[in-house]
Amino acid sequence: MTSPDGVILLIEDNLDDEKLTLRALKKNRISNAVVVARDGQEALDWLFATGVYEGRAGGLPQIVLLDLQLPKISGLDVLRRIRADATTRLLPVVILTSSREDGDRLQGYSLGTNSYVRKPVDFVEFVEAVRQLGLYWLVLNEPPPTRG
Amino acid sequence: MRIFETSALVIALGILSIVAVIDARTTDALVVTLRWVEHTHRVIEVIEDVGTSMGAARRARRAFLVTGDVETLTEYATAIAATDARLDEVRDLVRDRAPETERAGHLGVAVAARIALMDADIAARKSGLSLLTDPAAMQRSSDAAARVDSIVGAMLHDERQLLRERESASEGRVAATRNLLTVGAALGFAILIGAFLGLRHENARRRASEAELGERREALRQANAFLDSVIENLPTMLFIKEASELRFTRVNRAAERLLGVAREDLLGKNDFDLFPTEQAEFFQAKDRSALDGHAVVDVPEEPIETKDGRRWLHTMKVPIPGDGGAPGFLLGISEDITERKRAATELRRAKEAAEAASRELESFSYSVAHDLRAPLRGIDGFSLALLEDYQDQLDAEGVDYLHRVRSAAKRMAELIDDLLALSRVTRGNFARERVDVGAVARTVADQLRSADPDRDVALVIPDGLLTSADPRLVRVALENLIGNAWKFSAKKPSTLIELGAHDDAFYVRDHGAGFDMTYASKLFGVFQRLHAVSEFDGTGIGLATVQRIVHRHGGRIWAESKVGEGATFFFTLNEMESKA
Repeated sequence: MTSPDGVILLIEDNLDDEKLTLRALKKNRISNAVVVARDGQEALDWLFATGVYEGRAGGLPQIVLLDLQLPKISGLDVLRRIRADATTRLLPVVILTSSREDGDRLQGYSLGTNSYVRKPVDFVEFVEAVRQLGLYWLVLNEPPPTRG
Repeated sequence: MRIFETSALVIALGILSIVAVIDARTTDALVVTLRWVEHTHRVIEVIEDVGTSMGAARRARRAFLVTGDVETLTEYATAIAATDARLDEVRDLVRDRAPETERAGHLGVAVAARIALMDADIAARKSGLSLLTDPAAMQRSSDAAARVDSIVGAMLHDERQLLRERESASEGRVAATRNLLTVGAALGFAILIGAFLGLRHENARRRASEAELGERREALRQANAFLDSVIENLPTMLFIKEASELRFTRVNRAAERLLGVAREDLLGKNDFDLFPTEQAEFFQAKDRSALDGHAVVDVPEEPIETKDGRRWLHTMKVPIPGDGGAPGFLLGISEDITERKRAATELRRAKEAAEAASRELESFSYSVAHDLRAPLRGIDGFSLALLEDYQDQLDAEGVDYLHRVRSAAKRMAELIDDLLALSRVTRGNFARERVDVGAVARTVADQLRSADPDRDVALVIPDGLLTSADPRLVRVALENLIGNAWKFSAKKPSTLIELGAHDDAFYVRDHGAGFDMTYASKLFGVFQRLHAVSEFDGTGIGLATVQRIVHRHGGRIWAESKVGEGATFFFTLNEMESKA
């Protein structure tokens, strides 16, 4: 269940959640590289190689795990920017959040998220969710063709 | 009436005039007749005088013949002269009547003959002859005298005859005249009495009609006073302007009060005398619009400067027809809506505040959902990490504590989820549409069955349970009710859950644990539980949520149960429930 070349971009401001997510990935033996961005701006900078990530090499991640409530630029705005830019337009994005609000779900799908997963409080369920996400997005799912 | 009176007067005057004319003519005729009677009397008198004076002449002649006294001759001459005078008079009187004139001629001849004889006698006496002794002469004298007497007698007879006729005729005329005068007087009386009666009747009628007029005036006065009182006591401002210059001709007390101006200072003035130019122009434009359009103009809101500051009015302007149909006046009725407007403003502010509070609550709910769950995940996740990675360093009690930490975190997550569901029930949109309650129930039951496939639960859900309700809320309600039924009958190896309709209520019936009806009133309160969590899990929010859903539909919810025999929850979704 590894995909060494596929990078996971985890956009998460909560350090506990970051740690739990990484633990869940580890428990599921998902060994892909994980890049953590702790706010929306940092995530966009990393994706578009701007700001602190100016000149970064290495292309796009295989999957983006996006929290909604983020400092500076909100998760939904990050998604909007990802879908607005031609290079990231087809990038698989999974919203991974505590919210189950109708409004968030509606907006998330309207803006073109590929999945919407609510983080369970029960860590066992969380690990299972991460396992399924990893299996699906990193193994089963064929990513869109990379542009020249 | 006037024509009748005039005709009566003309007729009365005519009758009286005719009577007067007839009377005058009759009287004239009577006068003529009486004159003729008198004339005849005179004729008789004069003829008799002729006889008398002839007698006197004869006696004087005889005296002279006997005595020769010269003085007697003087008497004789006087008598002869009188006779001649009388004869002339007779001739004059009867000149108009031929036979009498002729006869008077004969009398004159006879008298002349007689006188001639007497003169001869006298002459003879003077010459000394006495004729008294001459029988022939005496016979001649006697014949002449007889002849005179005969003619006089004949004339007198005729005249007396004439007199009688004339007197008789005059008596007839007098009687006729008297009758006529009587009739005339009677007619005069009759007309006078008629006029008197007519006048008296007319007077009585006039007095009666004056009394009636007085009553009518009084009634009119009272009606006017009543209308005045109505207008004066109207709690809304009322004013009337004349149509040409739009000056106030009438205002009521409410108008004085509202404007803070006494009516003496309002009447005769126009809007420009009383209000700022801009307002006056507005008022008059609306006035003209009502008057020109012959229609009521509704001004829902207009500001007006009063002595006590600006007020807001809702005014209706009504054209009032004058003489000849064109509007003569403008009636205005103004309601002071200042307070209502203030209240509306306050209401709007309150609504805005409530909406702000609602938005705040929404963002609070969002925080609850998002921010409160995140730490719980940490608590659970790291507790599990401890259990997994450091179990060998913990004793049994430590492991138990960590398990308790985890279940407490899980329970708190459920509470948060249920509270959010409860708040969503109240916050969310509400739209009724046709809902098949049975179909929703089947979906819910399928979910329960797939989550708990080992349970042996028979579900009885009839077809055709249709209603008008918000489908999302019906789903939440049935999730809770059927979920409860599922949960509280879990200790039975096999059980039955029924959905149905009774009267206008739906019900969900289970044959599970049931509850003590003593605590039925607590069923629907938030966090109210009738069973220990260890016995049946749950947050105590589900039924509170169902009750809110039912109330949002205007319905009601109640339950019947017996411990150990199951429970039935009834609910309506509409005051006028319709189940097709």
